[in-house]
Amino acid sequence: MTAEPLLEVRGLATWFETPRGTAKVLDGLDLEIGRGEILGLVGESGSGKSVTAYSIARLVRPPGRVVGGEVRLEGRDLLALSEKQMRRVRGKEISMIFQDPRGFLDPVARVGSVLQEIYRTHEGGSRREAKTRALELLRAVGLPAPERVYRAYPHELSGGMAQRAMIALALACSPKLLIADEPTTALDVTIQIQIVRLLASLRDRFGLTILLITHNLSVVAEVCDRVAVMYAGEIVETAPAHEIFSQPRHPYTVGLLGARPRISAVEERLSDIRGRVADLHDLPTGCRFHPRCFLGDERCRLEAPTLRRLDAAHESRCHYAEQLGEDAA
Amino acid sequence: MLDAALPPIREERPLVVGWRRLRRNRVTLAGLVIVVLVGLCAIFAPLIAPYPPMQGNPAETLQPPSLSHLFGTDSIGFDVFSRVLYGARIDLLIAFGAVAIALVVGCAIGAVSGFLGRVVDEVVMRVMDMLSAFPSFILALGVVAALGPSLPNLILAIAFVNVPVYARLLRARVLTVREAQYVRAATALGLSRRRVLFVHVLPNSLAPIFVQSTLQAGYAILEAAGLSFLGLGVRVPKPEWGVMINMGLQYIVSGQWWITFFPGTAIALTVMGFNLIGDGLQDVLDPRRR
Amino acid sequence: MKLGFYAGRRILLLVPVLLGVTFITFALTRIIPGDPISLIAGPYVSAARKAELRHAYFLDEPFYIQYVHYVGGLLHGNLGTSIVSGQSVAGELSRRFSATFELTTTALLFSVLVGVPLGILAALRRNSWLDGLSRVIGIAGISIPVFWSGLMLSLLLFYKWHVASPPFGRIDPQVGAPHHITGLYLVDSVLTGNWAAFRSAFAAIWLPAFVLGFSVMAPIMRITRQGMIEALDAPPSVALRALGAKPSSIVLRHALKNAMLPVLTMIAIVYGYLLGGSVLVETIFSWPGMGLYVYNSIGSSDFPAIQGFILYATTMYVIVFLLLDLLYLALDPRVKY
Repeated sequence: MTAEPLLEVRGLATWFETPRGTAKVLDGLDLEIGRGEILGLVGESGSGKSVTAYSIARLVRPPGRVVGGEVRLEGRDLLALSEKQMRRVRGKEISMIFQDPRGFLDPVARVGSVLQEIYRTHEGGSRREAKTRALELLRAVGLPAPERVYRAYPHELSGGMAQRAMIALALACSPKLLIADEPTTALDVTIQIQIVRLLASLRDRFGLTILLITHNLSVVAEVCDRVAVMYAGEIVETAPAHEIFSQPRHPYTVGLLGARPRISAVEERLSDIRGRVADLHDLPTGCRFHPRCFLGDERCRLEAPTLRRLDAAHESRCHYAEQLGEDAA
Repeated sequence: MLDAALPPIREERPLVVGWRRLRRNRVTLAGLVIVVLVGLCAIFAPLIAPYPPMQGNPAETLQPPSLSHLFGTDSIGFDVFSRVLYGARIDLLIAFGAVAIALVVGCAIGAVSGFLGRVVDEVVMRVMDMLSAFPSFILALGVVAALGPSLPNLILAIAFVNVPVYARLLRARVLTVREAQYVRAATALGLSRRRVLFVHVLPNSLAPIFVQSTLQAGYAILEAAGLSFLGLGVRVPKPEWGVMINMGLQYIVSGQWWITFFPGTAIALTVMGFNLIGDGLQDVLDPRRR
Repeated sequence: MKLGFYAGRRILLLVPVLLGVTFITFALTRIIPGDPISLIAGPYVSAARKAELRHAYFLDEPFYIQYVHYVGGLLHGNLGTSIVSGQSVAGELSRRFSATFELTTTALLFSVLVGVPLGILAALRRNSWLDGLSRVIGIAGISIPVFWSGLMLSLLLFYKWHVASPPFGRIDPQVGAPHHITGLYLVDSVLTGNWAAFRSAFAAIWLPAFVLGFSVMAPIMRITRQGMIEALDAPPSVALRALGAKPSSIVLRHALKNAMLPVLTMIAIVYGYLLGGSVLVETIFSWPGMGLYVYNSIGSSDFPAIQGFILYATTMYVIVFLLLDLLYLALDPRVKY
């Protein structure tokens, strides 16, 4: 990547205070997203994908707290901003869509009124202007009857329509970065592909950059330019999408891919990787993945690997990444 | 809202959890202390009270609070302090009596309704609805007015008005328990309804019944005092707190505030004690409230 | 208009409830120990007259026939005749209705206007001293007997400090009641521009309404607080934050709208307590409403009047409940009817 990345995350640390102690869900996460890129962030439940998303948008609520690191959007560190400044960033420069669109929309507010509100909060303007813009957006996300959706309440929409509406909401003020937190998980399989393709087309039309969080590898294969694989709060591998599938360089990724059933109707991430997700209160020494790893040895138990660059676009957090590359090829 | 994958986390830091639990217990504890104190006053009234409650000294009427009459005296020469102490007996008796009757009768009705189901259930629940359609104080008023003002009638009236609450509570429990997998399985194997009731339903219901009862006890005292104040409960000159307020009504204008002040404070404190217990318990039972 | 049909259905469902209420009210006379006639006619009546009355009141007929006659009378607006005045109970209650209605509604308004904001604040400052304080205030409200607080406050504010107006009635007789449009002095005086009447009526009502409203503030506060907390923790609030919506909007426009629905239900429940409490408050403040009427009727053992009041007040309560129920339905877009 030669151009400046749009989003640069360095050393992001988000901790949660629980009765059992402090869960260091993220403890030094690094991530980069290039302008106009769709980055897929994949991993099992419990890996910290959503927490990453919320940390970037500074939406983490107690008992969680972002305790350190930098999140640079076009060079500007978001973590250093005041809450008031951050409010202007949210919705206008960074936007987010969520997993269960009907659950995340205000049930007693019509879609149109929320669209208007968000638009006018950031851009000002009259109600008429806001309404025009809102209808434009609803059309742009592929809703065939924008007027009806405008007047509708969330429960009156299907899952797919609601997600499109939510996307419209997120794009109301032309943000630079869209974070999509499992946007397809709660939807029908056929709709999933539509939504994901919609995101891609919006990226093409509006130069949007997207952080797509999912555990669904088919979705990743469909639209992502690059993929970052996450395990136990760390990025364990990043690579261009096609390389992740053809040349995985981390045992965990290998496991994820191997466990993927041939049918593309993936609703649940199936993992026949042995063992369970790492307990964040009780992390293993050395490499976090080593207890479940088919490669792991003494070195893995004692020494935690760092995220190393293997070639121009591929990084891996494994001592034996090169060996994997030879095997898989 | 947070990553669904995170282990279920309670919302507090360890320190805050401890503090919150302590505070919740403090509330319940405070309520308990108050109620126990009042109870002790009631039980030991004959020992603590300096004067008999129904013997007035005509020479010492309308005396303001002093060392010999802590709460002063009223128009007949009764010592207000002693009467407040003895009043605790009456009001606590009403509270516990009315609640106990309502509890037993209500739970019985609820259980029967829940178990017999269908027509019986419909009819019983409709009747409960009709009873609940009345504002409770007004219905109690009607019952006592009809039966005639007396202590037993007062207890009966208040109990009557509170029956639907318990009936509904227990019926809901019965229905829930009956639908539970393990109960349905056991019933198919011959588990009797009686066993279901006593072994499964009742132990499960104890907590909400207890909470409800503390709140009902507080409200029973308010109703009793209110009705007695109106002349529909315990009659003058018995030392019930509401009656005492009625007796002191006309002397407020001339400045003898103590005749009404102290019994009223007693009511407020006692009811608050019950409410604090109930409130504290509700917090513990329903985590959503905090 | 779907809501119209639904409303119609709900009103029809009222009928069995009201019937049950009338039945229970009627049954009250049957539990009176002793001779019901002496309660209807009073004690100073000859035996012959009693026999006449017994026949006139169908007391020589079986129970259910009597009930049918009773309901028949009700449908004609006949709630019985007062022993004391010989007047129609229905008429006497209706004359006093607006006084009680004005009092209970003003108390309700107070309770909501203070209780809801306190509940919102408590939700925003969860577990802070403010939250604890509002909880204590609430508990105090439902623990303090309403007739006692009314007395104590009257004593303090009127007799001692002379800041409140005399607790005798709805308005200064020298000012006089405003021209009758609704029967509610506050409303009528505004509608006719009679500011002197408004000031006097307000000065007379604020203390009893405060006392009555304070006694029911706790449940309103609690349900508001709970509803706000749930709404603020719910996913839509997260999404709105993520979109940069103004915090004031998230709280007051979105969360509050969601929280208000259960508050409506609570208001309906609370109205019952207000009606009961009004009997006591009207007595203390000599407020010329139905409550004071009942108090006097109790004093003179005028059972038909008491019975009439019970039915009147309960019907009021049932109707208020229905109206609030319909309002809830109209406001919640999720409900299908």
